[in-house]
Amino acid sequence: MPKIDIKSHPEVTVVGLKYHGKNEAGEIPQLWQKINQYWDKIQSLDEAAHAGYGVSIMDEDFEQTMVFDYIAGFPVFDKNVQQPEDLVSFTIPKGDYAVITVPNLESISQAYDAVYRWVAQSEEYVLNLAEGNFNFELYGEEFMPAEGSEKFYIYVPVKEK
Amino acid sequence: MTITEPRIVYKPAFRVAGIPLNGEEIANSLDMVWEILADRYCEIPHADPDQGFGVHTFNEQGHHYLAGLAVHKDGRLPDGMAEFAFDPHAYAVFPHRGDLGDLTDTITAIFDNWLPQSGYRTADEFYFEYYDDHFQPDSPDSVIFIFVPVVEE
Repeated sequence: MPKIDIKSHPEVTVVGLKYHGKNEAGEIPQLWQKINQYWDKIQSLDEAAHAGYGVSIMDEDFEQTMVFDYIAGFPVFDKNVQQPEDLVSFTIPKGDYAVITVPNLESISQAYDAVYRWVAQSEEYVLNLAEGNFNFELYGEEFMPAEGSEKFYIYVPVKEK
Repeated sequence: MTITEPRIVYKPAFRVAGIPLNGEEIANSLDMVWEILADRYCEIPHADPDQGFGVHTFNEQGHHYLAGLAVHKDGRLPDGMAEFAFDPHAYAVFPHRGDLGDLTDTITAIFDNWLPQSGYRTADEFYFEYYDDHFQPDSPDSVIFIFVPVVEE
């Protein structure tokens, strides 16, 4: 059983590129390649965080269609600053999140299954859908595939029952 | 000294490896320890030389300092070095401009003036200085950042 922690996360605005679909043909890895090539166009980029965010926002009929928005991006410290037109932003709301550690990219599907199963079975917490049905992947210093390290985290919004 | 309102940054888990100092050594040997690190940083496996950290920790044994670099992956720690692993945290981040001789004034202003009226409290018994490409030794335009782990009260 993987370890799940409850962590608070402050409001953070993420700016990056958006994909809409089912990610059936590696579109999300391609999106990351693209944003990694022009992240320096992001205004007010918060470099000191050394973090990358992959935000998924599920369509209303996600359960049937498996279609969702995915934003691959980076945190900014001024959410009101004008960004280049092809970039989108998403503000992660302040709150509690169920957090699972993912050892490598290969394990990502199992990690999503595990963290949502954990929330569904929790006696203390339920999914928090107040700000929509979303979650995010958080990539930090420990995600450095060139050095053989692929550890990252998935955050799912929850609230106490 | 007045202090500008910090920005709140969420920083994922990370590690710092480098050279430790304890207690009174900190005041006396701070410059020396960074010189040693500049000589020896190639010995640290998976280190990022573009990110320097001066980590202050406080516990029952007193005040400790680690002059180090971010490391991307576990590796063998060189002799005389130490490592510190950080959990993900929200941080209040303050710039410090110019001469590092005034750094203690900034630290005092953060903890004595800003913190009590901020609506935040410290989340853990440490803070760190962050040195990236904004740091230019001996330049009045030099900027380093002070990271203080915080939670809302």
